[in-house]
Amino acid sequence: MSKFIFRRILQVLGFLVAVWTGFPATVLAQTAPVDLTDMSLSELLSVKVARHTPDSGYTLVKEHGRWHFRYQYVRKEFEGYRDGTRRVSNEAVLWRPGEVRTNKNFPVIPTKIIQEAHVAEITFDASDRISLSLMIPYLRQSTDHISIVPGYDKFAITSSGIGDMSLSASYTLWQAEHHSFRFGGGLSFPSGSVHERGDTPRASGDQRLPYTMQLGSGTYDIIGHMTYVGESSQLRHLTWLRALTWGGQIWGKVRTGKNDRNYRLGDRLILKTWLRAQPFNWLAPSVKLTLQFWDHIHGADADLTVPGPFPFPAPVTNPNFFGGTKVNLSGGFRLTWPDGFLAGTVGDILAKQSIIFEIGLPIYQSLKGPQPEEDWELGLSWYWRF
Amino acid sequence: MGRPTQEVVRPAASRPFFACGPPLRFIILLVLWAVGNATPEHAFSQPIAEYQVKAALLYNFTRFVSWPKHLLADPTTPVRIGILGEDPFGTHLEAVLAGKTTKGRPINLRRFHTVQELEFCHILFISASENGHLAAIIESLQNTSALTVSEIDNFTQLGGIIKLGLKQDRIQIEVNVDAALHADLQISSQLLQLATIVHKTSGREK
Repeated sequence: MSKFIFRRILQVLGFLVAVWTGFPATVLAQTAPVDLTDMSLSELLSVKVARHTPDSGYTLVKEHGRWHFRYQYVRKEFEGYRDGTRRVSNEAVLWRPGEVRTNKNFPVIPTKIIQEAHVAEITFDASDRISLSLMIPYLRQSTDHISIVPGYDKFAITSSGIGDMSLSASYTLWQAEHHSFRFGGGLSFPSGSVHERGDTPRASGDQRLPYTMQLGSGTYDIIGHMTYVGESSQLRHLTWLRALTWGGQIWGKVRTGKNDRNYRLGDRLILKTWLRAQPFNWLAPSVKLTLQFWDHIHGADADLTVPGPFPFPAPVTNPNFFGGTKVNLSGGFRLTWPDGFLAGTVGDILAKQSIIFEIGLPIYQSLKGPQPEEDWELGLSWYWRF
Repeated sequence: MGRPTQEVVRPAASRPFFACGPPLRFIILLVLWAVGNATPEHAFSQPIAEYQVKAALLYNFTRFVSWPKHLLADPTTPVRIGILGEDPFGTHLEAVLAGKTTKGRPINLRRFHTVQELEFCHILFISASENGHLAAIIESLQNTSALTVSEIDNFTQLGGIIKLGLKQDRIQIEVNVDAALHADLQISSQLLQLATIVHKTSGREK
């Protein structure tokens, strides 16, 4: 390194030190030891405050320049079948030689599907009203099967990898002291594979796995949502509660075009409503009701079919046996570090984190099928705002 | 043939900061540092914790409210601030009041879980946890000169003196001047100018 470059680096470092040490500490870190009692009344009343209620995605107030990180683990299990609202047994869906073959029985059927998602989401509050989010899911799926094919009477297939990433923005349209209304939209990118392969009875060696085992959609999808959040911390008749939060959300995903396997997944519409109580400053139990509508697959992956009058060897290879209506009831709780429990930097960091546990059961399912029915789902989130 | 060393001299207007002479460089750095440090401490670019600001406001009320002389006759009598119910301030109130005096008097902080435990305080913050029996609390304070402060909705309409509200992420003060008058409190015009004035006196009528 020449002497000239070395001197320039020293000068740049000197410049940066001067500028950085010159900045008021409060600009660099909100928790800087500033004595607010030195401020005048009018200054105190003009200061923008961060609302006390810890948030976890359903937040009332956006804070300019703040980052949020969320890691979420979701596990869903599917077992058994439904055709419409009617339960159908595995034996009824499995076709055996000697039985009448119809378009509703198959020589191969999944008996249990486990879907796991590890989702990382980073959000930036670009202004008081606008937030930008990037979501990256990592998926792991496994399916147990039974079949009439010799050597494959019981077998399992798995797939794992990055799913479809999405970029989205949300805008707070209206905000009052105890209510807010937000809408947003985004784009989901086809980063998840639609080319997963594995050993199935369809032929020897690895073949293309059914739609349920693919990791992505293969299409650019448009996401939109509208969210209302209400909050009350003064409950005249429920004085044991510190706060009550409630809300509703309409969320939709519209698929565009077709992927390179000549299909697109069905559009999806989700309506949610929830209620969260806060009896203690560290614990907030909640209940949530979710109504989902989703469409069947349009088009078909030709590699999933077999020649003959019944081209679909398994229900999950028939694009028409996707979609339906489902209502889930979830219950859970949020754990937050009690505000003020530990003073200092460590306490400040811990107070900005929360853990959310949620378990959900479907209370109504009407599926185009026979289609594997959902048994239960579990969610565990770690949320950190910084 | 040796290559002659060449000093490229730029016109002053396009000369970078690093190329100016040492005295000028030092002055520029000094100015930058001074300008940075001269920025007022309250020029926050990020929000401050709600209860940190509210704690500072409680302290400020000790300076902008005057109590009857007999309550602070002795110059060493401390000004008492009480919290009734669940304390939402965490460590903020202790931090704000640490080592502070007001008009030369020390400040004492007390916490009361129930209205039965209440002792006289110059400022009494009534927590939202007490919303269910607010009327009884106001009633019990009828003949005292306590400056009641709360975040409870309709606090001033119910006879409380100062309500701390929140609007557009900023704290708003609402003052029931009739209730203050009834409690024999004098509230500074500086505070009243910044507050929304309420005249109802339902809980404190004589």
